[in-house]
Amino acid sequence: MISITGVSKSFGRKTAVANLTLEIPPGQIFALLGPNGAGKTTTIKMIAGLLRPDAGQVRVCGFDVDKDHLRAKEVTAYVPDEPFLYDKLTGREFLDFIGRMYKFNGSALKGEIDRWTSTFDMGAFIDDLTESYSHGMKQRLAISAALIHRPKVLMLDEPLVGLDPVTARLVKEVFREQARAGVTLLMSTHILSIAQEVAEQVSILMDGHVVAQGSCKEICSRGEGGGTLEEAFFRIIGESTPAPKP
Amino acid sequence: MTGGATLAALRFAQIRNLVRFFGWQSKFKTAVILLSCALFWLGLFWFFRFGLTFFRDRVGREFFQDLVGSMLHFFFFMLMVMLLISNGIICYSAFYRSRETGFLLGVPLRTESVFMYKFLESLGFSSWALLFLATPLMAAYGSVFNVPWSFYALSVVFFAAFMWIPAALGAWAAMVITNYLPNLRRRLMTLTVIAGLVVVVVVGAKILQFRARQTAEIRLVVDIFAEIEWTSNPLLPSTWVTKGILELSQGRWGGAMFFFGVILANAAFALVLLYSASGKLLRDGWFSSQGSRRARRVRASLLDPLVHGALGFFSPEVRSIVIKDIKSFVRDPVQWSQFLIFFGLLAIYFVNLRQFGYDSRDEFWKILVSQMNLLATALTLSTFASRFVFPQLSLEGRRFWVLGTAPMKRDTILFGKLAFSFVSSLVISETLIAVSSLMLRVPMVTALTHAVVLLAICLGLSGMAVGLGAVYPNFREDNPSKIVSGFGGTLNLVCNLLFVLACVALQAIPFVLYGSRLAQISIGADDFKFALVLAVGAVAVLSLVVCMVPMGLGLRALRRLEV
Repeated sequence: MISITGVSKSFGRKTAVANLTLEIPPGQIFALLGPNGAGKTTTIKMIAGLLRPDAGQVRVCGFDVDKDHLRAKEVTAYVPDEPFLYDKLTGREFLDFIGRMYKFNGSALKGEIDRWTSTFDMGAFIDDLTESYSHGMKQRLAISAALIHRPKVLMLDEPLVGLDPVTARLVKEVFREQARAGVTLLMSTHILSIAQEVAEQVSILMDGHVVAQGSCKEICSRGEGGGTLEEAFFRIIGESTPAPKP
Repeated sequence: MTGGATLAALRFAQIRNLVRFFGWQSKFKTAVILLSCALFWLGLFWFFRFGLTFFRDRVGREFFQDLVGSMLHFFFFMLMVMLLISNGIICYSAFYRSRETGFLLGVPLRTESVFMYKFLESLGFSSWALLFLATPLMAAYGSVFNVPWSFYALSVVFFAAFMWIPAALGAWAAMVITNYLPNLRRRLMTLTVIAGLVVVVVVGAKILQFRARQTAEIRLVVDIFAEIEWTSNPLLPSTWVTKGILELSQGRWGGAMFFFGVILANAAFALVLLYSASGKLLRDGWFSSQGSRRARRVRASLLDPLVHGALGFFSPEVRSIVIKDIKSFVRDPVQWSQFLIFFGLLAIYFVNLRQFGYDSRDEFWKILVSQMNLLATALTLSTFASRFVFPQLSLEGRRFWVLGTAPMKRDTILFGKLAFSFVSSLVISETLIAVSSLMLRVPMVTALTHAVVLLAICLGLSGMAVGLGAVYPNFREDNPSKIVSGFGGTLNLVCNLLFVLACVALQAIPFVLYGSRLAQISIGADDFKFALVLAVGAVAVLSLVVCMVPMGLGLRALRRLEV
């Protein structure tokens, strides 16, 4: 479903992603982990078509993201880490706008808006201007907007940051449901416990390179073996878990 | 270090980095910005000097002095009101809407120091206009009245003292309203806009009454200024600065020092009071303003089906972008209120054109006035394009994840912006110019020419603003006024003005040649028609070039854009 072959991307002298190759099959939840500046967001943005790779090829559902970008965009959706919305539109108008961009309209679009409004419990504020929304409300709306055209590939940059426990659980359940329906989910996260809980496959990036990849179980058993994903993560990136101060 | 010293060091570092950044910019950018500033200043200087010499040559020298005195009283009164309002609005944003204030109130600094830090920032933002408006006036005044050289330097000292008074009053208003009338803030904003419009209509009506009963134009001006004699009330700070400037120009140092002392004492008094109360007013106001922003509920409107129907010839994606932009514009009073005032003033003037009796004058006057109206409408449109259309793409920057990932060509985004700008400016400007032509009873050929020329101007201005907005985007800013004050915005403003002047001048050539009293030669009716076709054709070609070249550059930049 997502196929990345030998992809590199630099910003000036800084190499953000170097010769990256990934294959993510349909219906899988895949997590990108890594410290700040590891290349997680750059990778996701290249798949979403917001950045162009310097080298290599990105394909989504068989479509080349660079050469056949319109077909690729029709089947993908992206939610950034900080979802800036149009302040002077209501949540409903925003969803309507997004739906029309993906050539949805009429009762089909209305049905999808109602479905996600209900799923994410947005009824109380969906007709308010988004300028008054909290971060969690914006995040729920942005995820709804991403799902409204029924994408086959969903990319999420830090999707659970700022969500309350109830919404976070709901969002995780929606992710699992989407995966069961055959949607591929690629997310970047700093919260290792979420990756361990939700993701089937994990890739740890560092300085634009993949330093470890596999299921959470495989990652945890690397090296000395055992422990949590967090312990494995620190082992892999060559840092020790900071000892608690007395 | 005390809190004040820490914040002063912070501000110093920010200014130093700003100056360094300015030095790192390309020389071309720096040259364009400096040249634009110089042209603006010189243009104002020329305008003020022309106005002063115009009146000097038509009224007696003794009478002229009184007239100029009245004008200065009015000018500084209006400037004071403008400064007071802008200081109030900017102080409110700086004190209670800025994230920096929240951060600074959370660290162990004295609240009074935080207040003074933010107050000085607001003063800088709101008072630079004083420099650009008052100094060319003083230079023009000085050159007409042959004042001593010290006048120029000392008048700047007067302004430097004067600007603290409206700034302090504006800050007072912002803090008092936030603390004691928190629920009235939005209503007060609306009431201020309505009150401003009422004042404009009342003053306009008075002027029109004068017009109706006066025949001698200069006498009319004198009567108008007599009617606004109240602007020289001795309790007004604007009166102190005006009288001080007048004393200064005549070399009466004692009188000048007296008014300077009055200004300084009152400014110091207002500031000491403000500083003393700021500890409580800033902190309490911050607490009451947080979370007080009520959600605005919006019902389904008729706009969507109307625009989808009216713009049926565009693709659904373009229509959706246009609807989104219209909603964003209409729901933001800060955006539309200034255009309501600009276009509203023009509309009031055009509707009342017959009060001036120009419709019954000979053709020369009718055409001259209609040409001036065309110029006024086109210049107002150019401010619309510069202030609102240019920042449109930059405002998409942080939201580019929405349009950038949508399955449509990126060109569609830019064509959506072009469609919105062209259609909205066309509707407004064609309505205005039609009213002007109707009220003036100009010949049909003049009315049609102006309608076609305005259509071309709308296309050119829209293409230029949208295209240059994509070539020089600023994705870090969410504030349109900051986006337009950058290099791209300045370049766009200058190009807009030159384009408008070129179009109006081109189409005016046949009218000047045809039986004009201004030209020595005149041409016949057939020649006139031929010249008119040529002129309008030239305007059309110019507009197409001015629209297509920046759009082409903008499309190329947008296709390459990586966010």
